[in-house]
Amino acid sequence: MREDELIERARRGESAAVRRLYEAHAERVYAVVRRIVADRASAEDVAQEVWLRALRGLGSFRGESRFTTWLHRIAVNGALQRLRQRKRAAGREVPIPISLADVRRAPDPLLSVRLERALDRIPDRMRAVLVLHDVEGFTHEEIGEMLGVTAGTSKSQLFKARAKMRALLRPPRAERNSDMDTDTDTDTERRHATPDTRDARASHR
Amino acid sequence: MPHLIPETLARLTDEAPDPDEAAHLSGCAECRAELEGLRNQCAALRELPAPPLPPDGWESLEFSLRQEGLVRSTRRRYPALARIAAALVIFLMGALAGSWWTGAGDVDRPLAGAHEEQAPVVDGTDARALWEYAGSLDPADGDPLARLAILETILITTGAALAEAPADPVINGYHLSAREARDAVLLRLAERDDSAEWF
Repeated sequence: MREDELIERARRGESAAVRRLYEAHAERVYAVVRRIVADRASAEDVAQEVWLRALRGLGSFRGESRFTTWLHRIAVNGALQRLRQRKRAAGREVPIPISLADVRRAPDPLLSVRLERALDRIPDRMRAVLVLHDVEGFTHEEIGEMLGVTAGTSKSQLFKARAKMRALLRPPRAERNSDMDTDTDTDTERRHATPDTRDARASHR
Repeated sequence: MPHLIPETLARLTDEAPDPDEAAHLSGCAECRAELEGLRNQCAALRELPAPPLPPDGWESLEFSLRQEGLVRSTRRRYPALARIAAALVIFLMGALAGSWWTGAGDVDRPLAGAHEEQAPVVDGTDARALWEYAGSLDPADGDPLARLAILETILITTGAALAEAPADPVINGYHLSAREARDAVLLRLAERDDSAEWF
């Protein structure tokens, strides 16, 4: 059955259609939410709320974007909103213990642990872009639509996020930009602050 | 000549370099190595497995959806004749199985699947033996890879057992304990290898 037909039936409240939509998208939605909110209990809660919001608002889905983009916009916003609430409640960002349950299926669990831990240390919106692009394979246009930014902003956030990840994953002995694990976006540029840096920055697209 | 900044290198994992960047890369082994590292990082991120869905995800969502009246069942109502035929088939199959079980069938032939039914995948004693063996490996001084291997074995064994008896408290206990221990070993290994070159 075509997805638009499935959506139409789900809109009419047919349980089987809703379930098929859920089964088609649940894993990816949960993965994005899980990696943005960074802890399993909150992720389960947020993912459930995302689906409820999506299904309540299915009538407003006009098919102008792909269903998966529309659904992920709700998911990403729900996850970022949870992070904001958590920070407000805590007064400061607290480190969140990684759950290894998520990386057991990896071919190399140790590498996956390191990647997930590095992901947790990247600023929230950068992490969202990195997860959506490099892990989930969305385009910058789709990510821009989800986050309410331009494709160019999505690109620029992605490049910063990748550079931060690289710095976090590089062994401590390396000299290049080893101080990148702070939340300051311009750390890398400061370290290479030379006249040519402006040229390199100008070459960003 | 100064190196390309990391964000530029991050962009070059997706896009072609402009002439200046290409010229720099051709003469700078360090920037080429950084670019290669970033490409490997992107490849590793693409390979990250999706975290497993919560097991009762659909059930709890469906419960909420029903409470809000957002879904209704679409179970088809079978015609009365079809329901009677189905009941008759089930009755006849039950009668046949019963006569076979009570010896009316071929008594010399072993009951297919009986051995499997009587022998569970693992019981509490097996799980305890494995767990004790894992405990005998000193977590502080022993080889963490050996401990990891045995804990993996326990998880696979108890996982298979739980598929047969999901509510068994003993096997559940060993399974959860093994999972915690395995996670601790994995974390320790990851911390130990913090200085390793990954990309």
